[in-house]
Amino acid sequence: MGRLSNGKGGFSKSSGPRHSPRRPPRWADWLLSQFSPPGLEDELQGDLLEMYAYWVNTVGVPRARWRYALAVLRLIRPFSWPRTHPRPTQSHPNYTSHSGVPGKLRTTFFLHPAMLRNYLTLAFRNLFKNKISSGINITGLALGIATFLFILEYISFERSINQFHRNLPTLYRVLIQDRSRFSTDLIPPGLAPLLKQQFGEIASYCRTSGGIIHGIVTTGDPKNGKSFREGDQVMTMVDRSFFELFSFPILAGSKQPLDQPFTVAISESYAKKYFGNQSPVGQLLTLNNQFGKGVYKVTAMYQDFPAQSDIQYHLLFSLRTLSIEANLNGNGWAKLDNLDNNFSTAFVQLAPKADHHALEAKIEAYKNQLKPEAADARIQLQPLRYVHLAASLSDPSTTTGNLKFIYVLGSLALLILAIAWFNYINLSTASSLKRAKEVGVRKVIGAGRSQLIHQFFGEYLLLNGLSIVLALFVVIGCQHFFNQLIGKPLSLSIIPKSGLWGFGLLALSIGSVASGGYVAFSLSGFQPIQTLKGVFARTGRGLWVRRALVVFQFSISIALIAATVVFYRQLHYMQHKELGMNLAQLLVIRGPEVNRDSSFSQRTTAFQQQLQQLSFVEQFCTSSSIPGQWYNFKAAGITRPNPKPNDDKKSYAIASVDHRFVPTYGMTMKEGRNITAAMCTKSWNQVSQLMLNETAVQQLGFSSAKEAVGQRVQWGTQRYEVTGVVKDYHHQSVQQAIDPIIFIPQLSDYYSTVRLTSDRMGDKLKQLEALYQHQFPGNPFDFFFVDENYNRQYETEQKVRTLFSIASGLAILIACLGLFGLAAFTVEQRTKEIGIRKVLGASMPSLLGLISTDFIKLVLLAIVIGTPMAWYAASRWLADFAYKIELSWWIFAGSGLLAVAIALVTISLQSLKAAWVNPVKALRTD
Amino acid sequence: MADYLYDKVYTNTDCTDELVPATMKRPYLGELEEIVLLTVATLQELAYCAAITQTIDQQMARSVSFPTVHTTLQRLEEKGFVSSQMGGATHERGGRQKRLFTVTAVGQRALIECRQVRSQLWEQIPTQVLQVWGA
Repeated sequence: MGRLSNGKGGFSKSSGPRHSPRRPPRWADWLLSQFSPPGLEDELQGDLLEMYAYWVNTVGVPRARWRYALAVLRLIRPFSWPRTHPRPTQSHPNYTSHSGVPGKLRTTFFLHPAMLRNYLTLAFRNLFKNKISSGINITGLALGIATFLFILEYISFERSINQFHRNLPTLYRVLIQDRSRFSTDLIPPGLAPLLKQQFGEIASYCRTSGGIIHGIVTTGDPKNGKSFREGDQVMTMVDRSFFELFSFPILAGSKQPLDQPFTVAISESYAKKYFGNQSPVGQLLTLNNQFGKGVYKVTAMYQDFPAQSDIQYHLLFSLRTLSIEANLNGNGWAKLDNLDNNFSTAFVQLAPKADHHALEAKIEAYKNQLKPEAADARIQLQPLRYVHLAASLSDPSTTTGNLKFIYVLGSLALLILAIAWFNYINLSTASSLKRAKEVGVRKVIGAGRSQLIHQFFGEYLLLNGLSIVLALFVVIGCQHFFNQLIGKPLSLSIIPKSGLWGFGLLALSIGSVASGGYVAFSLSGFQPIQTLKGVFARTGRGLWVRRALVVFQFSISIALIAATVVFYRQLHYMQHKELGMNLAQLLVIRGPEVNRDSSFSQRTTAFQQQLQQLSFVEQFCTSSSIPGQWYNFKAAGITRPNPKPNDDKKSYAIASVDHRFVPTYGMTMKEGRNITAAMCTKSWNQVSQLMLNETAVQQLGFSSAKEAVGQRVQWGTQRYEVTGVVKDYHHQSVQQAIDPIIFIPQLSDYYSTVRLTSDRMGDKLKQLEALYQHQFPGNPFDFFFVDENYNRQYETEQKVRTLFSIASGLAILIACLGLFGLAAFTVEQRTKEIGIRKVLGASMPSLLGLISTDFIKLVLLAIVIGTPMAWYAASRWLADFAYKIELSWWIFAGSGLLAVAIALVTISLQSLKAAWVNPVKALRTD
Repeated sequence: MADYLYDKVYTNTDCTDELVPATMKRPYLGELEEIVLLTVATLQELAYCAAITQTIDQQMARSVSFPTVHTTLQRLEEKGFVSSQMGGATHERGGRQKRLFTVTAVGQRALIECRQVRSQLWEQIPTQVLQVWGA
């Protein structure tokens, strides 16, 4: 019944317009010619052509075309299948007549429903039959995929930060880079206006005041309102352009809320906190801080900034307030047009199409002309899109996120996923003997290799599908826990938003296809005769691949264990390093900001005296800088009287402290004397003595601490005498090198530090509060323990540590699952051998050794490979720390030993089972 | 080991489903099947899918789609009510062959039985009622 013409032959004569009424839709025609159920091509095409002509006559061309297309869609595969075999039939049903090559052996199409049903049945049977290996495969893959998804969520979130601003392409942050390529976003407030004035490319700018306005906010009536202490991470002062540059929606009030001095915009959540359900717009807020008391009018309420924003403030005061000299309260350093004091940050908006690199060069030339002495510093424009994560690893600009960490996490995710896939490859190829006979029989019946590949691949897809479903359950179930752990509002929905889904999908598919494909190819390659004869043996190649994969899995696991140990040790080291001071039982009370009237200094003195008289206060001091917080500020231009060139560019940290500071914090004097009470009472400009720490002594160029005592130091026009040298201590976290610090003697009401005796803390706090409230009514009693506050600096490290321990735990768990499966398989293979050995008198240890030796060898090899990797990674990580642990050999030896132990336990679970079993039972199998 | 092997061989008969003659289902005639079968009988040697569809379309004032008829015919053939052979290529079908259907003996019997059942039921309706209906 050969076809009389091919698919196109019938229409070759008609060459009319594209939509000739004589011709049915071309695409439908093509579909029909390609996907007709086998054996029905001719009749269907012919019948439909007739039907088309009929429809054209009865219902018109458009509906005819529509009906034709619908009919084709319903008739083609896979929606339709021939229910009966083409007739007339030959004697053997497996011989085709319609394929055009009579007599050729035909195999059933692999997507035929009957075959699909068969594959599915077998796949599920295999899953249930090999419960251990299926369980291991699915659990391992699910854990791997879940980890991958979690990490992808995290990376997606990090990548999405700051990307939502409509002006993103034209917004830049101004950075100043010093000679050592270290860049900071703290710049003088006068810089941005000057740049805008000089360069037409800059369309607009917005400054924030940085960390200078922390203080106490009182709602409503300044006398009786509620007071809240707010830090610089909650509130700042910004230019009026803020809401124009950044895309933060205003919910109520003026659209240009910060045009006038003494105005403030408030976030929705803070409006609720301050005013409850009342409308905040028009209300008054009193801010008490170093700029004195200011009463601000709330002009707008804005939606809380999204979690994907690096800019996170709840109160935005108008920076214009500070442009009025009277509002500075004597803080001349904070003048908004000054170019000397680095405390503010600035964003600029460039004109569309302006090239920021070209502008940077112009700025550089201008700056060199204006300030030749600042030739080392470079002004950079950092695109807002790269403010959180740098454009590349080689970009030295300061960022709010950590690109390196993102890369490390990403590789970690892929490695864990790889370990899970390797489990699949190992277990499937190892147990291929079980499938070999099936392959043989299928081949004999007439399956081609491609059909077998499809089958095994399909089985893998099923397994993979189950794992993905399980992984999704794990992710959704553990999301809350994970979010708490890392403190970010993550969810699966972030991934598609950040364009990373393509990468995730690609990684998942490549890995799946590669691992599934490898297994499918190796399983389908068996020779039917050999497998059916039973002379089939495991191929050497497959064995080597399996060994290599086990070695890889364990190398990664060992490297991760070692890295985790290094993290733990480093963090422990940092938290327990000798700090050069004693922070135990130290309590800091923040000073009052409200009601600093004429009687204030008197009340302060009274408070301090009463404090020292309390029986449980052992020591007491005041300062405006404490360890664990930043300094008062950093300054350059401090030199010896006859400075060498460039000496004036070195930066020093300035801390103003009183005469009791050094003894209270348990620091020691290296040389010379501590400052005296008399020195501290002089006003800032009258001070003529100071103290240094050892690092400052070195940087100033004194040969020793002893030599420095009694010498003079020049700062601007003023000269100071060095009274003493404080032994180096860690003012900031141990991660950073000790800064050169200059201590200026000053009495302060900013921080009062007391050392308490250790018992009954609650009562003491109550007494302290009563005392404080008595002297400073209207101020919240705000205190913290210095050691807790100090240790908060290690939060990031702690998070890294937690993430790493979880990741390495998962990696080794998945790797062990695989090893467990392999051991189970080996034991099953050698049941008889073990039985015979036992009958002949083999001892238990020798049997255990028999099974374990092979695996242990692999793990030992993995140690050899994994250790250098771990060592390299750990030393790179430690390079960021100024004070770090030694990478001693035992860390790596210990990790290796741990891996061996875990592997041994895993294998023994199986080999013990084999060794204990009654040999008679073992010999009876088969 | 040997048992295992046989196991698989038997399992494999799953996929040979279509190699053995289609299992005879209970020779039940659905309503649409009956109409299609009747049309095949009406059209005699001109019964092929397109013609059948058009006939039903014209005579029954009821729109029935081509794929439905096609599937019904396949089902009828599966049940053994019709048999088919190829033939009759014409120019208007682009020179393609038709699959021509004929009612088999089983099909004839089924149609006759069907009519008998119906006439029996018709006869049981009281004459007065039929008169009221005007039938």
